[in-house]
Amino acid sequence: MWGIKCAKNPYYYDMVDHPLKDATIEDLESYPWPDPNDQARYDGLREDAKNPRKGTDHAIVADAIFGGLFKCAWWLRGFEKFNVDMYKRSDFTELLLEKISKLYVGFYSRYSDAVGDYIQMVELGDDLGAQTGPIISPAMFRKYLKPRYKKLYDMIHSKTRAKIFHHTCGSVYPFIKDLIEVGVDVLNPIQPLVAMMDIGRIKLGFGDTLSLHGGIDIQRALPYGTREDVIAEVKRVIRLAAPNGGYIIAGAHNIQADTPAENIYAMFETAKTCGVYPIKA
Amino acid sequence: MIGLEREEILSKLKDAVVSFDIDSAQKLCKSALEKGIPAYEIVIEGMAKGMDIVGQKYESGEFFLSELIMAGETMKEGMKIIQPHLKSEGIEARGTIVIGTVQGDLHDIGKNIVAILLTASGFEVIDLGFDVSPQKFVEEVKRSKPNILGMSALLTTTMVNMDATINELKSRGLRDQVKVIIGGAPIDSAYAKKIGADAAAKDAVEGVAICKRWT
Repeated sequence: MWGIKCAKNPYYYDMVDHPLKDATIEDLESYPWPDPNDQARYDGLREDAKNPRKGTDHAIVADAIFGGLFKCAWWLRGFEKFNVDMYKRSDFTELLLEKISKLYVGFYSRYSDAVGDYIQMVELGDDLGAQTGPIISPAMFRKYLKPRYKKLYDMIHSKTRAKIFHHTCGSVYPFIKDLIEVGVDVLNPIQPLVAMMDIGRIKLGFGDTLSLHGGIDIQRALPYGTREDVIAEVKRVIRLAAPNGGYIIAGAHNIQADTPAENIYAMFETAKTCGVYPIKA
Repeated sequence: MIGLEREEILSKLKDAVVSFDIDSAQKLCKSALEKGIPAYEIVIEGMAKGMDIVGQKYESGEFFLSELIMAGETMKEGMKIIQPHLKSEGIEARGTIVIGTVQGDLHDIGKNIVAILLTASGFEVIDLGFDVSPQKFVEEVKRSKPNILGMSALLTTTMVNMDATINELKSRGLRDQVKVIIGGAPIDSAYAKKIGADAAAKDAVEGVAICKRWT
């Protein structure tokens, strides 16, 4: 993707080489960036989007570009190098993020024109957190990423009534207020075992302006718990996140391949039994 | 050189690491050497004190992962100037650690940060990269006879290879010759106990602290 070399091992594609690892500012200008105005990307989209909406009360979710502004930047540069860029090569960082941002805005503008009438949610994302804390400092986030998120999410909101779903792995509590300010409507995946991401605390602090998606522990309860542990976990998250609206029930990230089928069944069975609105406090 | 001048240079070097001022760190390392401050003292009393402060700021939530990386990179640039002089002073590495991300797992950001911080702390680090098989880990332990083996994994599906690696160490009669430390998102001390690792680290700063206690 974009010249980034990936390897599949065994369930995911991960980056193994970064094409801009030795780049100069001049290299950023001459890099063969994808063309967001290539009509071939949009042919047939509108027709495809019409069909799922017919005859269903399910929400239709658009899920287009994989990655995110920050993620694409460090996939292209390498994580350590991009961190040094943010502190030491401000002009380079601004240009790199502008190049990526222009692609996203260009693409999502045409994409929203094509399918915006038929979708209820647009799934975007950018990983800002790890298990024990954010992977980018709030200061760097606000300097480089926040204004660019705002530009992208404002544009999408101007072209569709769909809600903006922002995926970010890990511990991101320091950014939640900022994400709401740039237009995020739904935050995912709210991993319960990472630092500061207690779903009850997030619901209490931000539940009046932010919907939550995810929250059910997929690191411990789901893969290693008993059926009763899983049921208890699902009920716990519903109790904390669901009252008064604003919760979409799901695992807190991808359910991993080592999860017993009976536990997955227990999760969805409990969701259907206990997790249908209206749910009061 | 009077003591005050020595103190001033080392204090400024400490501050350069804390403020990620790579240029200043390089200049101060050269200046310190020119003024005859022993290389070992430049590391321990200057840069390493800066890394200690960075670690404390990270643990308190003032600094984040990106600041850890910046401090590590700053100290790494300083160490490039100091390293040849450490050797000529006969100062040996604090210890040797073989480190890698386990088989089937290509995630290495956390492991790379640990490697930078360990190098900055005076360890010789043999980084095997990612997707490292149990056999490759054990072959390297046999070859380089490290004090510590460190393994990282992001996924519950790949962390099982930590268990496989420890079993491979046992079957080759090498388990008692090395301390094993594990880390990564799904790792905790209960898992370390279950598979017979000596410790689990919740983050890079804790990992380095444990390795220092062992050497």
